[in-house]
Amino acid sequence: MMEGVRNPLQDEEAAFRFLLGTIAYFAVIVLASWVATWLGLVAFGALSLGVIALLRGGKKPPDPGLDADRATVEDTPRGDPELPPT
Amino acid sequence: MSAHAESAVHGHDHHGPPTANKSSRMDATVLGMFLFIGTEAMLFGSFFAAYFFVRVVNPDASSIWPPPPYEFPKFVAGINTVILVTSSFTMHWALQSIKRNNRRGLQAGLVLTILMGTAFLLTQFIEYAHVGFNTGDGAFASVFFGLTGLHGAHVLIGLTLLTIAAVRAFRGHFSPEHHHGVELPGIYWHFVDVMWLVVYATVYLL
Repeated sequence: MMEGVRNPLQDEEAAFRFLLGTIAYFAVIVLASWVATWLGLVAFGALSLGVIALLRGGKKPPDPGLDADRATVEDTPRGDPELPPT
Repeated sequence: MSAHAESAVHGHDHHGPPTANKSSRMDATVLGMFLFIGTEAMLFGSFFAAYFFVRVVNPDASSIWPPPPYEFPKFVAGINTVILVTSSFTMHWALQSIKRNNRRGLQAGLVLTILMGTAFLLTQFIEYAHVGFNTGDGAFASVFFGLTGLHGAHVLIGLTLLTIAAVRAFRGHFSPEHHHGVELPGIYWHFVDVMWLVVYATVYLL
């Protein structure tokens, strides 16, 4: 299956994990920035790349099923049905 | 062939407009919440852009932030952050409880979340009263109140959603199979918490 983008807000559990991840993300950046500004920038860059890689690790959702009943031409009458066909 | 006869041939007894098409990938309410959160993220993004612009053009920003004589109440905001993050845990507990058919847990979790959200808002109002500057005291002050106020408004919206969910929970709504009315406010509440972490880290700490 092809890779897709992971939705961090897919459901409540995923959103909660996203929150925990955000706490860890900013904790590292803030601590690194307090040590040295350049270290904070490095942490920001490295973590952001990691987050992008993590979010791209999702599975592509399945293709939508085609509803054959709804796809037929006869399903959608066009024009005034009282008029004779042209 | 008349319309009725044609309809009988094709087996169409349906009158009125055709049924609205639905995505087979995603529930409409969930899609609506995603779109809403997407617009919210862009709204916050524009405020952050203004904040970073103000900060970058300030000549003293690299050494001292906020610009003197202003100071941020980092400790009070830190306590507020702990309160808000804890409220996400109680929100998560509430949803896990109803999934296990624990109605008391759902009710307690929602009430605790609402109480902590309210405490967050009240603390923020007190912080505004004691912060020592106002919206008219330059671009820095405007952006500060704009960002934190925007977030506070979102907490208020979240509290409204949670109150509706809590009232429904006390009226006996929701079950292990049907708890969409708790899940969606939960997603929104976690999102609001995430946005506060971004605000707290960038405005108060960095």
